[in-house]
Amino acid sequence: MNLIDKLAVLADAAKYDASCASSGAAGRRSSAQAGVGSTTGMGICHSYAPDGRCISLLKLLLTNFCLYDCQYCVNRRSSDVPRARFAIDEVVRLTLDFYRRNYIEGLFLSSGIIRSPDYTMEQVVAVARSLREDHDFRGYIHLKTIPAADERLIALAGRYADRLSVNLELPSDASLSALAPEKSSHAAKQTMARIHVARRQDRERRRDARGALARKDVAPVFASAGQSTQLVVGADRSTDAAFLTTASGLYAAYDLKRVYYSAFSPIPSPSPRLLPDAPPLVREHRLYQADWLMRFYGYDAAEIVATLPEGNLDLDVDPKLGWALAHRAFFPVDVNAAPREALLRIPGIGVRNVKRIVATRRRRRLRYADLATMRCDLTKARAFVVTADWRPPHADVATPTLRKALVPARQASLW
Amino acid sequence: MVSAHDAFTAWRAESRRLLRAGIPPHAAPWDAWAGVGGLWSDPAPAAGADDAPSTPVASISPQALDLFRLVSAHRDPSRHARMYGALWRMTHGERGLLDDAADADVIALTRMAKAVSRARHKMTAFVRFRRVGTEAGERWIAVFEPEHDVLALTAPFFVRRFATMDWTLVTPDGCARWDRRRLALFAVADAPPAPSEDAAESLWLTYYTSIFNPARLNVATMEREMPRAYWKLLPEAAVIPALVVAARDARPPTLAPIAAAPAPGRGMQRAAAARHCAVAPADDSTRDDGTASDDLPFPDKSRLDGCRRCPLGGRATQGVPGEGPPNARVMLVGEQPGDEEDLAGRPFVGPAGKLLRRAIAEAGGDATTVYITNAVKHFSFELRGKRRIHKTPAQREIEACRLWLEAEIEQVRPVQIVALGATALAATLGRRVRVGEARGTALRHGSGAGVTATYHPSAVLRAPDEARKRELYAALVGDLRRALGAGGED
Repeated sequence: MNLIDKLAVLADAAKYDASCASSGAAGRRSSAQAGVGSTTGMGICHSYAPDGRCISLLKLLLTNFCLYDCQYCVNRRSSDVPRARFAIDEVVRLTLDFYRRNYIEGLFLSSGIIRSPDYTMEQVVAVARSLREDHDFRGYIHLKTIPAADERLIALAGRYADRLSVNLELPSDASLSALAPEKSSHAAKQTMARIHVARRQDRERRRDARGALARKDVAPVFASAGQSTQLVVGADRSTDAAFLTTASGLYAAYDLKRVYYSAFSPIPSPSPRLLPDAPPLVREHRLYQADWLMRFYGYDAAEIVATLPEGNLDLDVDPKLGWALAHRAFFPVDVNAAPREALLRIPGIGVRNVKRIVATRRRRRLRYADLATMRCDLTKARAFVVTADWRPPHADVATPTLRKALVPARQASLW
Repeated sequence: MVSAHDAFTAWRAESRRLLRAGIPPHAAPWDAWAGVGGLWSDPAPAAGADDAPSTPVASISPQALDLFRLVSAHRDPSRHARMYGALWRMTHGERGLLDDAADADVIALTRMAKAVSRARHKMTAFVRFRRVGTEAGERWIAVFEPEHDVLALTAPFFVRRFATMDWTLVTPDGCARWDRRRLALFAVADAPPAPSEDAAESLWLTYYTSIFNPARLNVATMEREMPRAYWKLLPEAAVIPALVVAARDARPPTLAPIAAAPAPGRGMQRAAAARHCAVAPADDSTRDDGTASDDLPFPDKSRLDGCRRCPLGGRATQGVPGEGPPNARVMLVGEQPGDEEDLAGRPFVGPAGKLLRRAIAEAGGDATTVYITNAVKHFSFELRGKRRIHKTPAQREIEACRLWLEAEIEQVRPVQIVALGATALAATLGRRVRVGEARGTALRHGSGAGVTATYHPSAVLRAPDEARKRELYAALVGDLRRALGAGGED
C-alpha cells in the first residue's frame, strides 16, 4: 500500500478520538543552529474540518490492526474495515513535512494493539524518539499510552511527549465488561496513576535541582502538558451522572488536564450490541458544559448530579441554568456585594465577566446597563441578578414558568 | 515608510507632542492619520516633525502600552483618535481607566486589541508554506492576507518556530524574510514569485478529508473559526464544498438495535449489587461467586484488581496486596491503602508507612522480615473539591474484605499478628474492640496466632499536640517490640 492510501486509512481510523489539544506544553523554540519547531503553551488550531472540529495535530494510528474487540471501536478485531500499518519512519516524515509547511502543531499518535501492549507501546515510543532525537523536533507530541504497558515504556513516552493519554472510554466496569471485554478500568487507571506519580516525581526532582544544576542539565519535563482521557458518550446507556462522577474522580485522583467526551458516531460495520442513535452531539455539549462547571466554576460533581432526576443532563437547558432553576433560594445575587464564588453561579455570566465585575465594582457600583456593555447574557442573567438599578421581578414566578421563558426556543415571552 | 511597529512609534511621538501642548482629543488632528499604517504606507504626517527622540510627558501602565501597541495594528482608520482619547483620560485624572471594564472607550479599544490578537493568532495558524528548491538550497514561501496589519507583530513567531528554514512571508502590506540569520521586512514590490504548488499538499488534503467525520457535519462552526476570507490561500479549502455535499447526501449507516448494553442508572447499581460478590477471575479455576464464606484464594494483585465484593474496588485505582516474606512470622495489618498507596499499588509507602518503618527499626525489628498488609485492600475516599480524602471504611466493606485477610493469614501462617488501629483489630478478631482496651491483653486469632492491638501510625501523625504524639509513638514502638519478640521466640 502506498503512503497516501495508508494515510487515508490511518487518519480515518484515528478520527474518533476527540482530543486535538496542543496547549499546555513547556515553552520551547528552535534556534538558528538546530531544531525545528516551537511550543508556547498556547495551542494553535491550524485548520477546521467541516465537522467544525479543530485540526491542530497530525492525528494518526500507527496501525489499525487490533487484537481487541471493543464494540464501540471502528478498529475492533471483528470490524470489516481496510487495515494498514505505517513504518515508523513514514510517520516521522509525514510529521516533519506537515510541520514545516505550518499545517500542524505536532503529532498525536495512537495505535491498535498488535502482538502485545508492550510491543505496541515500543513502536509508538520509537516514533516520538526518532522525532525528538534524530530530527531535533521541538513541536508538540501527544502519545496514546497503552494500558498495561511496561512502566519503563511509560517513562520513555513521558520523556518524549508533551501529553500522554489513556482512554477509559466507558464510565463503569459494567459497561466496559459488556462492550470492551479485553479492557479493564483498573488497567487504565493504573496507567494514569503511574503517569501522575511520574509527573509529580519529575516536579520534585526539578524543584530540588533548581540552583544546583544549570537549567539545560535538567532533562525535558515529563509530559509537561499533562494527561487526558476520553469517554465515549451514547454507545451504551451509561448516564451523564455516571460520566460526571467518573470524570470528577479522575480529575481528583490523577490530576487530569482534560476529560474528553466523544459522542459516539455511527461507524462502518457496527456491532449489533450498540445503540442505534445518531451521534448525541447536544448531550456531548452539555457534558462539556458540566465538566467546565466542575473545573472552573467551583461546582462539585455531586451537586450537579443531584439536580438530574433521571441521571441525565437536560438537553434544553445548560447545566448552570439548570442548577440555578433548582436552587431559586440562592438567587438573586447582588453583583455589587456577592463574593466571587456566588457571582460564578449566575447563569449568563462567565468567568471573564466575573473578573470584570469584581474589578469594576472596586471603582463604582455596577448598573444593569454595565452588564449589557460587558455582553453578559442578560436573557438568562436578568432573572438572577441584582444591580444598583435592577431587582428581578421574578421572585414569585413558578420555576416551570421561568424555565419555559428561559429556554432559548421560547425566549422572553414572559416579559 | 512606516511599518506597523513604526506607526506605533510615530503615534506615540505625536501623542506626546499633543499632550505636551495640552491639545484635547476633540481638537487633535488625527484625521490626517487615516492613511497611516499598512507596512509601507506614506510616512506619518507628524513623524520627524517633532524633536526626535521624543521624551515622555506622562506615565501610563504597561497594560495600557500593550493595548495601544495592539490597537495600532488595527485597520480601523479611527484608531489613532480613539487611542489618544483614552490616553488623554488616563493622563487627566483617570489613570486606572482600564479597570473600568464597562467604560465605552475601554470596551472599544479592548475589542480592537482583541481583533488584532485574533488576526495575529489566525496568521500563526493559517499561513501555509510551499517549498521551493533552488541552487542555493531550499526556500519556503507563504502568501497570506492578514485581517489586520500584523505581519511585523507575527513574524517573530515564525522565527522561533522555523529558525532553521529560509522562509518568506508575503502579505499585501509587505513581506518578511528570515534567512536563518536575521529577519528583514521589505516592500511587496520586492516579493519573490509565489510557488503554485507543493509536493506535500496532496497528502495534506488526504489527511484533511480523512480526519473529517461526516456524521458530525457542522459548517457554521467551521466558518466561524476559519472564516471564508482565509479560504482562498488555504489549500485544504478547495475540498470543503465537495466534503460538505457528500456528507449531506450520505445517509448515516443503519445500525442494528441494541441488545446487551448494561441497564441504566439505578438499575445498573442494582445489577452491580446483585453481583457484589463477584470476583473477576484471575484464571478459570478461581472461584468467582464468593458464596463460600471461608476459603477465598490468596489475594494476589490481579485477584484484588478485579475484586468487586464491595463498591470500593470500582472507585479505587487498584487493589493493594500485602508485601513481605511468604512465611513471615509477624504480620502487620493496617486499615486501608491511602492516596499514595492507591497510586503506587503497594502498602504503607506514604507518610504513615515511613513512620511505621521507623517504629519497627526502633523496636529492634527489621521491616523486610515482616509481612505488611491492610484490612481493606482498596482505597476508601470521598471527593472534596479536587482531592480524594481518606474515609474510614464501612463495616460491610471491612466484612467484604475480611475473607481476603483470612486467606492471607491462612497462607502466611504468622505467629503474631499486629493489628494497627480499630479497623485492623475488628477485621482480625471479627468483632469490634476498642484499641485502648485491647492493648496489652492476650488476644488470639482463630488460626492460633497471637494478636497484638496497637495504634495505627496515622493516629500518631494526626495527634493534636506534640506530647500526645510522643505518647502514641512510644506506645506503638513498645507494642511492636513485644510483638516482634513474641514472634521471634516461638
